[in-house]
Amino acid sequence: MPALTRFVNLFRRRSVDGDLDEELTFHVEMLTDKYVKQGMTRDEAMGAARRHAGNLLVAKEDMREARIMMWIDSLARDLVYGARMFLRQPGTSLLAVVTLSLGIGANTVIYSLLHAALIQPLPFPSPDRLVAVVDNFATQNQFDTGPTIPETLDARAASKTLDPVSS
Amino acid sequence: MGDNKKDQLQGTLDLLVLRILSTAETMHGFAIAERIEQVSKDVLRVEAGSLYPALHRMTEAGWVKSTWGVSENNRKARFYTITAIGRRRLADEEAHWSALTSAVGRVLKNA
Repeated sequence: MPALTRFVNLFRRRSVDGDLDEELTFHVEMLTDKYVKQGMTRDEAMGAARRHAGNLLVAKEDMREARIMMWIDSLARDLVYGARMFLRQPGTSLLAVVTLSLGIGANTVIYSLLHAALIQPLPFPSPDRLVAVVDNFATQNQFDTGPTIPETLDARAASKTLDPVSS
Repeated sequence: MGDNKKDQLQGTLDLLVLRILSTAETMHGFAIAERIEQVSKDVLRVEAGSLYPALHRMTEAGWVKSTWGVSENNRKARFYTITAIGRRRLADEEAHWSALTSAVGRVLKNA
């Protein structure tokens, strides 16, 4: 059974049980038919078929257990295999571990920076209302220069619509 | 594995089921049980309670695969087919079985 099916089965236990029910019902029906053909009445045949089929509840439990055991079993085998390979070729394994840690580390750094730069809000109460005040001196071809300290103080004192937060 | 009796009996059932499936294109569980009884001249009786757990275990292990189909009398049934892994497994189990029975036979005859 492909791994995907097995994985999906974990989440659709009820429908898998439905499948089992259908399969077992089919078996009991077929047995009943067989006994009827051999000369039993329908009722006798049904009783005999149920008895012959054995304890179906136990069977269903077993099947469920089989699925879960296989899952645990293969996980355990994978772990043992991994450990054994590590012991057999520690160099290769260490190389893989180092490569992975460098890769994951670099990724974490990049995403941390991106997070800080793009996603986290600026450290001001309402960042969408921030404005930058700059001086443009068109005659001298100077644009976007920072205002001088006296200019800033004047602007703060005279401003009616802006709250000074930083300079 | 194979240490306790239950495992050995299960292994034998697996062997029988694989052998039956290796002779046919595809079969549903009931037909497998019938065929085992018929070929063994009713000596071996396979209960649904042990057959279906075995079939499902073998499906999980990839020895057989199953599909839903329609039976000869127009009922919905699950059909089992032996896989390549199952065939290899069958060869191993058959070899193991004949080694075991011939060893037991030798002990019984010569001890």
